[in-house]
Amino acid sequence: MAYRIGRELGAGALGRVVELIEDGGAVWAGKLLHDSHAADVRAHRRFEVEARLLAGIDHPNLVGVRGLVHVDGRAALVMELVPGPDLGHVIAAEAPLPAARVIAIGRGIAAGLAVAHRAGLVHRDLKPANVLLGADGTPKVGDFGLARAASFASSDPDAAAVAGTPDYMAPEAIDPLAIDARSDLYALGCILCELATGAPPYRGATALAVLQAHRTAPIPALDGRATPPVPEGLRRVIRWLLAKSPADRPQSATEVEAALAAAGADSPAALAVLGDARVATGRRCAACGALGPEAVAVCFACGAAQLQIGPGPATVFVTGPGGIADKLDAALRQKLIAWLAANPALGLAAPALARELPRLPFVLVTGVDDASARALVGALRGLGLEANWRLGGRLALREIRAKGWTLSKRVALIGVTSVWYMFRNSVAGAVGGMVVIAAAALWGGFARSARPVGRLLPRRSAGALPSALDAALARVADVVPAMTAARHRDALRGVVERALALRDAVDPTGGAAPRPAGGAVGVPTPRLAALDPAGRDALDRELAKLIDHAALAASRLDQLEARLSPDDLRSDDEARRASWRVRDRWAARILQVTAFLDAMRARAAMARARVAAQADLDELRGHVAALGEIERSETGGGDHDGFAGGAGGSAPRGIEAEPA
Amino acid sequence: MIAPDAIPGQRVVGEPRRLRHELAWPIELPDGRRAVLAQLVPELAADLALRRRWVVDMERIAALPVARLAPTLAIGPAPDPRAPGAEPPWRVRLDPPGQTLDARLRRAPLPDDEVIALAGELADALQSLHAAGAVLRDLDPRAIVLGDDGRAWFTDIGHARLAILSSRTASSLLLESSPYVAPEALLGTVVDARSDLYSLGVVIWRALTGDVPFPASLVAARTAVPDLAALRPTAPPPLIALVTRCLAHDPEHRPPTARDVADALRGKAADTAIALRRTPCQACGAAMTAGLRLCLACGKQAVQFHRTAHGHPDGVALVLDKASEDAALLARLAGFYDAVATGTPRLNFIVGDRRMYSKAELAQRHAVPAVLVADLQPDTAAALAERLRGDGFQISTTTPRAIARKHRRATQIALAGLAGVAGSIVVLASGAGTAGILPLCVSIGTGLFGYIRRRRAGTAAKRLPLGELRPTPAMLPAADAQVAAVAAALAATRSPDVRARLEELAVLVQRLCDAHHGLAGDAPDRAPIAALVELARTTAAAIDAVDGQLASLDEGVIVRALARSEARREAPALRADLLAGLDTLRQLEDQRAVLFGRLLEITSLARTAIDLQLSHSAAARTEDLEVARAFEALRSET
Repeated sequence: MAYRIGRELGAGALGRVVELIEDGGAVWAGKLLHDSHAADVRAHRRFEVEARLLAGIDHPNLVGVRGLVHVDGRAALVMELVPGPDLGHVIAAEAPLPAARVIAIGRGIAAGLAVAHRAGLVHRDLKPANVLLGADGTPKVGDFGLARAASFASSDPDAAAVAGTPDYMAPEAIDPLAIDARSDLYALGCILCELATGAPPYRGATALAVLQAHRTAPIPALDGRATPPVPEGLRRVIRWLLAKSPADRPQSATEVEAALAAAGADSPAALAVLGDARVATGRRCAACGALGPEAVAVCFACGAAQLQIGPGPATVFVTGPGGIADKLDAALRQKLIAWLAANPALGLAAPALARELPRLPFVLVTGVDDASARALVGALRGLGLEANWRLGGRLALREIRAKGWTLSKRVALIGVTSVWYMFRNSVAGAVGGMVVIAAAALWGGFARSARPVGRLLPRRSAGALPSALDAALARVADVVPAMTAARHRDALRGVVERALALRDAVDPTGGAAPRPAGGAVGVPTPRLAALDPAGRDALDRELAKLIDHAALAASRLDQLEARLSPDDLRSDDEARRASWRVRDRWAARILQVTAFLDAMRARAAMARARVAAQADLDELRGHVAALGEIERSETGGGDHDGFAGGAGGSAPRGIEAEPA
Repeated sequence: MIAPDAIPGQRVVGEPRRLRHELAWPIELPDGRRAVLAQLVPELAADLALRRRWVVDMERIAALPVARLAPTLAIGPAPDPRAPGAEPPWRVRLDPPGQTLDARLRRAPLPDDEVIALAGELADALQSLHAAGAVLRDLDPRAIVLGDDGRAWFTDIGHARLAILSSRTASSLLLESSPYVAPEALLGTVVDARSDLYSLGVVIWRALTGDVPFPASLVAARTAVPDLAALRPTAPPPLIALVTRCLAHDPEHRPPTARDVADALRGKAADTAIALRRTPCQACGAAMTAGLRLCLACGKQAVQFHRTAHGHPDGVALVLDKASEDAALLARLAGFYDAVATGTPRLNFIVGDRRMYSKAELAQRHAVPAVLVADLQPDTAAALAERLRGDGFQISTTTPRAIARKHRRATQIALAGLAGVAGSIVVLASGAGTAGILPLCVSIGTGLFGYIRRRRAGTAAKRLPLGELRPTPAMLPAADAQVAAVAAALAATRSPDVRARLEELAVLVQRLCDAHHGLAGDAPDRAPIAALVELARTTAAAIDAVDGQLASLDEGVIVRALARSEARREAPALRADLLAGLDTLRQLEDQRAVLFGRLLEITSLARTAIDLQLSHSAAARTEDLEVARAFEALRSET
């Protein structure tokens, strides 16, 4: 088949688009890389690799790709010729558009993305210029994965560089490894925002300033104060898509399409299904201040185990700085008070500390377990205090006893000198006085001064979880601190929060004390009483298994990525790229489960009273089993080979039945 | 790719290399000199806004009267490189013989003396560039050539602004963040010369350690500078201090000009670090630069509390009569010291029976009653005591004179008692019988009473205050014409960076005023300073005007409007205004950098001038005194 190049249709950052006229007269669009990239062989290789991946996916909302041909000695990507303008032109000429049209375009893009994502393709540079409009106005997404063909040859080897368009870049996009399907959904949120209001969500003086805004600026309210008003349903979808953490966004393009359909219906019932920006609740991390589910004793944001003081036989002492029986320095006490106030999660109160400066060494708290005692001592040392702990009661530390004697002596001395004058004339009185003084001194020296300054607050019961779930959450708390990449911890948080929220929704007893531990999305979780106790137990077991698998999968992914370097992503070596695709597939499994939990919640919301519980439960089992594969592939075929073996046969394995 | 025919007789001597937005060919000129022919890559040249920006920036660089800049020989194509549809614009610049700084630094770490020589050379080169009104924004070691004679040449500079625009028009997919760029230049388009000093700091750091202080990352904060002394323990401490100051996150904490850096490197200048400490205004509590007296938030004098001379008999002391260990109360006391005193003392008091404390503790802790502050003027003391009482403290006031009076009276009483005792004994001895007993007892009592009072007064007199009030201004600041001029300029300025400069100038002028008043009759010449203040005022006003214009121009909005106009297929003439707007924006940014550079120079100069004058007048005074003494001696001899 021979082609010749016709007129030029347009140009972008990577290449230009020309008409390709086939011998038979059929006209196609052809994408050619810019000549200035010619010297970069690697960029060219990546272009060809990505182009092959695109071929063969056919959907009305995707620009059809025929394949790669060579015209005049240059590689050209042969694509369907779409007559209409691109969405960038539409925005430039007509934005803001009416909500109905925004939703129609958004649904089209989401439908196209859903197909591509299912095939394992991530767009990476979704922006209005990459969405073409067909003759009837159908949006067609093009240029999948081509951002990977960007040439880094011109950039400084010492500099950090990333390919992308700042207005539409997801917060995680600065790390090429973190980009997945949800980054495309974020970009879709930016596009919808621009369609609806005429401007992308964030502005900045430089590209990096825009990127910074994507990462840290609050999500635009879109309530008409700063921008044209956006109808409630669409606004919620956009804000949901613009969530900073991928785990808080809709998890799949299918979900977005459904949400946009609901937003279009604009009825209260339909709105109830929609998510919104996450309203974080729960326990605040003592180390970084991020909020996380109360039921898990670890912070997903920073990975720090939550200092949770449990009951036990140990006692924590503050021993310095200062000599025995000296008073604590007022400035240090101020620091200690501030630290306790900043960490309410500790469950440790010390009101006596504010009233009086304790004499050193003093008992901070007694009756704690040795792990929390060790952690407390570490934290106190970080504050500049000297601290120690002992198994046993408040007199277990030698220095405490020494302080007791010192104080007793001082009290006795004061007592004796005053009593001596009073009872000078009566020997019996003096002896009696001495006994009283000795008793008082000993009481003051030991009992009073060894009183613990702090006491443990009664812990709010975290809504008694069944033991299976509790154990799963404990295992999560064990794995999370070892995970290096914050995004995998965050993905795990997404699963845990959703699972707990779902459990709340079907647990009739949980309704008495609403627990904000779930709330992955800021919608009041509807309460369902449809599951019988047996079904509920089954759900709990499945959720526990799900959390277990998700934790394992997330930590394995973390380890796998730590072995691969980001440079491999730019590599054009087929084997490396294949192993990336394996990793992508496992990440996609976690994503699917998260999405499914969302769907269950949405279905529950729609049905309100009755839910097709058994069918859902079966489907959940299927997802859990699929995620469980990761374990079997690891134990069966060896660690790394388990992934690589999957890479060889690129077809994903089917969902296997749960072994008895 | 074929090199454009830029200079008749040129000979291309190598393969083209892509450097940022350009393709660069090494060429040989007809006269045998080496040059580089750099062409904007075609896909970027297709964007009219980018094409114009490139030409404007390159023409500006070519026109800079800077000796250290590799000269631009030609910019083309003729007649107008800006014209849409023409071949992509190009420039030819001379290639000075030598190696790039990058190549030199790859051999790093360099020995100390070489580092200092290199840094001094770069600082000089930067100073000449800044003096011409240009800011590099990204001092890239690859675009600096160290000539064979050891001098530094800038070769391919002025591309940073183009990169920002290109990411905005989506003509480039590449977002870059260089480790040499200052944090404020990464996030903003309006920068000043101090951004280049940050880059200079990074280069010196690399020369010393072989690596950059912050490895490349797109958005990570560059606040916590690593400890250079630990990385290169042998480096001279002043150099380490200088580099660390250059790397300060806040430009206010960097050296103000490249000249200051060069002077410091050559050991010429004293430490110019002005600690920009912030303190609360004593009248309204707003944060302000320490040392300023006129609070610009409330317009009142920031220092409202006045001291007397140290140990003045009428200086009032505030005495805390009763201490407590309550945390909230002690925190309020610390807050009091924060607001009015030079520092916060350790607030550990002896509470309860003294016998409950060890000897070491008694030495360290403050006994009650404790003197909080001393040497206050009466009205200040009343105001402060009122404030403290409102906070729940038991406060009394006293003065050295009052204590001395008490001491004297107690002595008199004790002496009277002693006299009484003596008299009574005489009476008893003379055999007056028991009638002498009662006076004796009364006298002994009186004597003891007097003795105890005397001891107490003695202790009170020896008590040292825990804290010290911040120094009082020597004069009313607004009464001085120059202080008033700076204050007026400050009141009219909104930009925080300009305000910081003016505040520093205000502190300097205050110093001069104080010296003036201290040296009655021997006033330093203040005319040059007056001229500087006037210049600072006009410059600040000009910057304010530029800022006002800049605020109305948003590059993103203009770029979007351009796209909209193109999408609507409007006539190109309509876009001409928008393109001109982009040019204006760029000009204004440059203009602001020039003006701000001038302001930096003014404060730097004012500091030097005032330092010189003060040291000179102090020296002159000593000389005068010596002459007078010699004269006296001579007169007494004759």
